[in-house]
Formats: sequence, structure tokens, C-alpha cells
Amino acid sequence: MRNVLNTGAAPVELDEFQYDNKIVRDFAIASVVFGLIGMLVGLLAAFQLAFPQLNFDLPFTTFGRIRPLHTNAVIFAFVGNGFFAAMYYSAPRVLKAPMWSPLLSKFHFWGWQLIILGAAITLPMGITTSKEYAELEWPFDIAIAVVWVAALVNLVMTMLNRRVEHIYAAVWFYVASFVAVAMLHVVNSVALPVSFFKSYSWYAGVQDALVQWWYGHNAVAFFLTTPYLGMMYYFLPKAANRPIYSYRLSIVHFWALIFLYIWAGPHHLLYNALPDWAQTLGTVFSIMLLAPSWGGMINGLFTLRGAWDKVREDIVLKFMVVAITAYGMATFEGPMLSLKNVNAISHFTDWTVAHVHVGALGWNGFLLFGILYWLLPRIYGRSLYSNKLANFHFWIGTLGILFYAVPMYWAGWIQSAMWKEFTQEGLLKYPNFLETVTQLAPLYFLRGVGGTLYIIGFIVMIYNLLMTALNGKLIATETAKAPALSAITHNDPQEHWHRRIFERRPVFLTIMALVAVAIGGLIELVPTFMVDSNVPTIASVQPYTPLELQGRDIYVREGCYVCHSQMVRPFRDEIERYGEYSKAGEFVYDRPFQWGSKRTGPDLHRIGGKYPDSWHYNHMDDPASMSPGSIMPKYPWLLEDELDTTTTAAKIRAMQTLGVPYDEGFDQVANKDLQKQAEKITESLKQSGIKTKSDKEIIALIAYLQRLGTDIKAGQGVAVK
Amino acid sequence: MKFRNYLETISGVSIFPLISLVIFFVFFVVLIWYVIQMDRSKVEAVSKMPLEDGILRKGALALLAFFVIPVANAQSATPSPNESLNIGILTGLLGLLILTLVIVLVQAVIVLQRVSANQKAAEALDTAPESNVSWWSRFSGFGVSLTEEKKILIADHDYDGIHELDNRMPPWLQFLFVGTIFIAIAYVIYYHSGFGDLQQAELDKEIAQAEVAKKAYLAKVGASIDENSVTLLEDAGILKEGQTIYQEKCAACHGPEGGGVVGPNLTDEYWLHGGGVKSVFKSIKYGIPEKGMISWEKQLSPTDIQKVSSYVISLKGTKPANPKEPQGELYTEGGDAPARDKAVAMNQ
Repeated sequence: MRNVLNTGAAPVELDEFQYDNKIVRDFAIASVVFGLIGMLVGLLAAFQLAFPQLNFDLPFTTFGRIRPLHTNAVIFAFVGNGFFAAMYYSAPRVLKAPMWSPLLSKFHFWGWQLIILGAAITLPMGITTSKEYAELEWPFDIAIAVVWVAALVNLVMTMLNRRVEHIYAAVWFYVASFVAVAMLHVVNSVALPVSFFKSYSWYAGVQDALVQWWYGHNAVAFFLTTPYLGMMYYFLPKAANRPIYSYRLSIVHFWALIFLYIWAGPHHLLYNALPDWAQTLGTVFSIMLLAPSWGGMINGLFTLRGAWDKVREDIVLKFMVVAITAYGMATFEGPMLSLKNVNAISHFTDWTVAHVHVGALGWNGFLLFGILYWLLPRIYGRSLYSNKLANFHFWIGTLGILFYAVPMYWAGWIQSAMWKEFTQEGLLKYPNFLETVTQLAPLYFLRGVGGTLYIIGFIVMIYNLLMTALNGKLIATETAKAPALSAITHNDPQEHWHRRIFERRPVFLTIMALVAVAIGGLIELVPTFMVDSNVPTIASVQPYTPLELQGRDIYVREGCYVCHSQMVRPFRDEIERYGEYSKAGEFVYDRPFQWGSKRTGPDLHRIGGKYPDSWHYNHMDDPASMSPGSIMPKYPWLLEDELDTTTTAAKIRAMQTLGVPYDEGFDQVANKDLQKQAEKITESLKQSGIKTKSDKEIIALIAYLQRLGTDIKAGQGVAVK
Repeated sequence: MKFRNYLETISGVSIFPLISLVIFFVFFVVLIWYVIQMDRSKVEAVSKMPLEDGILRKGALALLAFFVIPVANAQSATPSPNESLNIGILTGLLGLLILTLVIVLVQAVIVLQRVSANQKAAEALDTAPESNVSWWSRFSGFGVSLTEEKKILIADHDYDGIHELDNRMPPWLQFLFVGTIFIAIAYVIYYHSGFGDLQQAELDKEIAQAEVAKKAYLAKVGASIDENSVTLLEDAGILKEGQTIYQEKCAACHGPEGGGVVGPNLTDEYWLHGGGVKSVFKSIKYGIPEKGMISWEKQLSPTDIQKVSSYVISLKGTKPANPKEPQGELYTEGGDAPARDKAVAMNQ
């Protein structure tokens, strides 16, 4: 409006153009449908921890395969599609231009849904890289990169074809999200394919861990935070009909946020084999993130100043206020969890699970619900079907979050305290890990109840939105008029520097956003790769034998890392419980690394040699037979299925390419070596009265488990009595 | 966990959660009843109450005083003998009550004044210069009042109807940002210039401290039992305790009745690693790792190992279902010397 007036006396010709609401609707449907599936899968996983029989003794429904499906579906399908729906609605409107290419929009939509469908099929099949939130195998990684860049191009071209002089804050956040995720995804996914559905990470051990959590943490930042901040910057002032509280704050918190966030990844690896300097960087940048993160909350909540009376009435604002509050709580908790003494307690426990769910259920979920309640009626040209139902959704959803979070915090604290408690004789008070798990069963059940409440609300929303849509008619396109950019461009020497430098220049803005996010990554990653002293080598650490390598791939396939860490932290209680703490040099042949992030079961890094082969055999068949009360799923198929040895040679060659020092030509004799080792294990099983063939998968898995963490002992064996 | 231990030492502690549950329940029931019966006009009247920052702040201060004064009171009263202590507390509480009442009354009067003068105040605000805004408002980010907002609405910022204000960043947020940067720098200096402990040093200290504490404890309770000093216990109560430990830790491999599963049969007279309480104690304590028997030294205290060893020996001659065939050397009490030598040899 202002722009039109400013153009002076000469009458300006107005362009006429159409906003596409159909793509918005499509993404919204995809978000809601996949969201429901993702949440139901999460609910199943939640109840599996309370009732292990819900694993159904099937490979496809075990917790280790279900949990990655849940996280991927909720992050990339529910939250992701929600972001796209909101972006395809808001970006054209603040830029006064339809999306540059409807074809690219369509490509983005269908490409993304096909990838999700692929994930839904391959993850339960055990096709996984085991890198958290990046579990999809390499063909999907390539597809994601292509689709993602296509969407980025579409957005940048729309920015270039805009009909406003300056680019609004919401779009800064969108574009930063796109460039950052593109960078993170590509760097983290570099891998050497072995077959169509199997690849080995380009990085090994400590380096793989650093890259993964650089990615993992910033997937939270640039997939769950910045896009949703951008959405807040459009939909909150729209819904509240209030101006944004502070333009200056939006500039400061945008640049500070994207610059600082990228450094914080190593806080997922505190008290770890990661070098001290990298851990410190992770901590201090997390501390500095507090104010920039809160900048978003403040700009949101203070925008509501003078509109708080509306919050009482308006369901959209209600959802948004809870969402922003949850964001504020989660971004306060984040830096606190990054302090090493707090992290020593929280890491590997359900505390982390509670933390991320406050973010996911509260911030992402509730913001998206608020937006959908605002958006759907508008593109269907009628008011919301039922305010009562929406209110019900709000209250049951809030209750659901509480019921979810409180038991999980409780579980985290209890379990951590039990892990660390010693008796006066200097022994662990709870030496049996299982004791600390069975304590949590009621809390796991309560958490499931919380999830159920949240999903009930979600289903009520689906019904409400569906009835809104059925009783209205989709306004597929909206016509708008505005003068062309060239007609309104004017030079204002008094203009704010940020407007002059960034908001007029979309490509420059995009590039500078990339620069801002690239700096932290480069400074942390490059030295870890280049400087040898960061990963001190241990002479006795040898490459895996072919059988162990195959066993390791089974370990990856079954998603053991979901519940078992392989990282004994340098604490008295962990050394007492598991053995010598893990050293960086022990992981140099681990592609991908398997440190894990949660201990639902005990750490396995020193499991090698702790139990006899027969124990593992019986335990995999029925964990409760060896550990009464265990909540681990049964893996009877490992005892039946034959190991696929046709891949051995290719795997050895791939490892050689990646620099693992197998002898020249070892790939040709690898299977012979594999056979020999398998016979040995079969023999030892036979002595314990177990009759099995040497070609079963269980043999390979036992070989791997018995090897775990033993190399370092071989080096010291002479010295230790 | 400490806190829980303290709680457990209070007798009849379980009544307190019950009482608080009842209090909360009653409170919420009353609140819900109040909300339900409240009519529309009342809601609106309440919503129009001009609860401005000043009042909130004073209220918060009053609350703070409420919590601080009893503490101060209690401290001053501690040294006096019991009776005067009670009187002191009572006077303190009474004074506090009066004080609270006065504060509440003052607040109520202020609110009433505000409500009646609402109209006038709003007009006055319109013309008031900006310097009238309290430092607290400015500090918290509300330096510009709602009515003056037009003045800081940035011209030319219109995005699909969204406008932007030119509020400065709330000073407290700026301080927070700068503060965290200083903390970050201090953190790096502290840990990387030798003052603070990095993880290795921290671990060394933790273990050294634990060693000292453990030694002190063991010195206090007397020398602990080891494989040379252990004796066979035959008291039924102790064997019962041994059985409990056995069922929990050993039954998975040796069978619930000791007949052997993965591990050998414990009910016969043949022993792979020596019979007799000393050898059994040793096998349990250090394990036979190469055969899959793990070391229990870190999970069971020496007295627990003694109990379970005694229980295992008491199993001799019992008739478990599906026993494993005997393994190892025949061991009989008394003539044990050669058999044990052999077992030790195998162990090494």
C-alpha cells in the first residue's frame, strides 16, 4: 500500500497475478496425514518400552527400526510439509509474486512425498545408515538434495521476481533454512555405496560423530527452528493483527541465531572421545545461543502486546502463545543441557527425550496447528467448522504435552541418579543396568498416555479441518495486483543499512546466510580432520574381520544404536559398570560410528568377552531368558536367517577405498576367513549345547559383539594382571 | 538420591504427600467451581482491571518480603531456648500477617484508585512525554506505551499488511546476550588455561576421592572378607539371603535350582575350578572370563559373595530337574588340597 503511494504522481500500471492455494492445501494435507502416521508410530514405540511384546517378534516392528521411522516421519513429513505449506502461502504474499515456477513447486511436492514414502518402506526393512535423522540410504540422499535445491531455486527466483522493494524477515528465515539444510545434508551424507541400499560413511569414528552431530543439532536448528520462526513472523502478526514488536531485534536475532547455532553441535558429544577444544566450543556457543533464541520468543510474545485480550478468545493465538512459550522453555533448557556438569546427568537418559518433545510437540506442533486453523478456513472461504472442537484440541494437546514431558524428565533424573549411585563399600548400588530400566516402566506407560492425549487432539483437528474443507470450496487461486518492482524502486539514502545491504538483494542475502552458517562448521570440522593429534592412534586397534564387519552391518540394520551406546564416558560409575572409558583411537575403523545418543539398554562398547557366545545366542533369541524382565525385543530371525556373504568382497573393497589397511587382494579370500571364524564360533556354541549352522546371521553378530572394545585390552594385556 | 534418603528418615513421611494432595485437590475444586459459576460480566470486569507493571512489581516485592522475613526471623530466634523460640516465631508470624494485610490493603486501594481514575489516566498518558515511562518499563522492553506506538511504526514496512515497530531491543535481552558472551569467554579461559579440570583430570580426581572414601569406610567397618579369609556360613537366614542373590544373578546360567544351563551343574560333587567355599568365592569374585563366567567383584560386596557361595555349597546333593552331567574334578570336604591346586592352575 505504502509503496504504491510513494511512486508519486504518475499513474502506475498494475501487474495482475495469481497466488496458488492448491499447493498450500496439498502440503497441508501431506503434513497432517504423515503427521498422524508418524505420531502413531511414535505411540507404538512408546508403548513398546512399557510392553515389550508390542514388538510383535517381527523384524519390521522392532523398536530399533520403528523409532527412526517415527523421528523421520515427524521431522521431515509432518514438520517439513507443514513448513512448506506455510511457506508456499506466505512467501508469495510478502513478496507480491507467485512462486516462480509452479512446475518446480509440483516437483518439490511430489518429490518430497515420494522420498517420505520410500523412507516409510525402507526404514522398517532395516535399510539405514544409522546416522540419526539422516538414516535414509544414499539413493534417497541424492533425491533429497535434488528436491531440496529445486525448492531453494524456486524460492530465490521468486525473491528476484518480487514486487516489493524489500524482503521481509519471514523470508530471511526461509532462505537461511534452505541453504543451511542443503549444506548440512550434503556434507553429512557423503558415503561410498556398496550396493543400491548399502553404503559406508566417508568419515570414521570421531570424525563421523562430529559431522553427524554437527548435522543432527543443526537439523533441529534449520529444520525445526528457523523455518518455524519464519512462519511465526508471518502468521502471528496476521492472526493478532498487530505490528511486529521490533524490526531491529529481528535483524540481530536472525544473524546471531544462524551464525551461532551451527557451532553448537559438539554439545551432543560432551565427556566423549571428542577432543576437549571441540567440546568447549560446543558448550560456549550453546550458552551464547540463549539470547538470540529468545529474541524470537520476545519478538513473538511482545508482538501480542495490546492483543492479549484476543488470546483469550482466539484459538489460533492460543496455540501460538503456547508454541512460543514452549520454544522459549526449550531454548532455555538447551544451553543448560550443554553445560558439562548438567550434561553429565542428562546425556543418554530420557531427559533429552523430554527436551526434544517439548520442542516438537509444543513449538512445532502447536505453531503448526495454530497456522492450520488460521489457514484452512481462508483457503476454503469459510469460517472454521467448530471452535469448540479446536478448543478441545488445545486443552487436550496441552495436557498431552505435560503428561509426556513430566514422566520423561522424572525418568531421566531417576535413571541417571541410579546409574551414578555407589554404596559405601565403593560398589555400584545398582550394578545391574536392568534394575534402572524396570524402575521406569510406569513412567514409560504414563508417557504413552500423554502421547495418546496429544494424538486424540490431533485427530479432532483433522476432523475439524476436514469438515471445514468439505463445507467450503477451495479457492484454488487468488488474484492480486501490484506495480512491478522497477516501477516502485527508489533510492533512499536514509535507508536502514540492513535494508540497503540485504533486503534489496536476494542473492546476496542467500549467499551471506550460507557464509554465516558455513563458518562455524568449517572451524570445527577442518581441524578435526586435518590435525592428527585430535585422534591419537592406538597401535593394537585393528580393522574388523570380514565376519565382524558383516555382523556390524547387522547391528546397524537392526538399529541397535537406538537403545545402546558405544561410548563409555570418563566417569567413575561408567568405568566401574562397563570398563575402561572409550578412546578416540578405538573408533578409526567405525563407519558409521555407533556411539548412540540414548541408553535404553546398557553401553556395549566393552561388551566384547564379557559374556560367552552362548549367552549372546540365547539372549538374542529371547532377552528375558538371560536377563529376566528385559524390555529388549526378541530377534529370533537372526537365528534362522542365513548371512548374505555375496557382499563380503564388495564391502572389503569399499573399506579399502576408504583407507582401511586390509592386505591387497584380501577381498578375494575374505569369505574364506569369514567361514573360518564362523566355524570357531559355531564350535564354541556347540560346546555349550547349542546346535546351529555357521552360516546364520547370529554368528556374525556374535563375532562383532565379542570383538567390541577388546582391541585396547590386547595392547595392554601383558601389563594388566 | 540423597534427598530421598533424608525423606525416608522422617517417620510417617507418607502422610505429607497425602495432605498436600488433599489441599491441592480442594484448591482446584474450589477454583473450578468458582470459574464455572462466574458470569460473563464478572469475567469482563476482571479482564478490564488495569493491572499495570507497577502493581505487579510491588506485588512481587510483597511476596518476596513474605518469604524473606520468616527466614530472618527464624535465624534470629534460633539460639534462644525452646519456649521463647516458639513465642518468637508466633510474634514473627503475627507481625508478618499484619504486614501482609497492610500491603494487600494498600494494593487494593491503589487498584481502586486506578479503576476510578482510569479515564483520566488514559488521557494523561496520551500527552505525557516519554521520559515519564519508568525505568522498569524501558528495561523490560516497553519503553514506548501502546498509545504512542504510532510514533515508532516504521513507514514503508508493509508486507501483506504486516507492519513493523522500531522498538529497541529490550535492554535485559541485550545484557543477557552480552553476559553470555562474557561467560563463554570466561569458560574457555577457565578450562583451557589450567584453572579448571578437563575431563581426564576430573576423572582422576573423582577416582582418587572415591578411593579415599572407600578406604576410610572399610577401615571403619573392619577388614573385609576375601578368598583367603572367607568361611562357610550355614545359618538358615543367611542361606536364604544367598538364595535371593542366586536367583537374581546366577539362575540365568546355572538354572533356578542349580542344575546348570549354560554354566555347569552346581549340585553335584564335581567342580571345574575347585570346590569348597574358598574356591567358589574366588570363582565368583574374579569370574572365569574365558568360559563366560563373569567377574562379580564389582556387582556384589564381599559379604554378598560369601552368602551366595555358602548357598551354592548348600545345594550339594539336591535333585534339580534336568541336571547337567557332572564336569571337572571330584571334590570332597577335607581331602581338597590336590583338587584345588588343579583348579587354580586352570584358572591361570
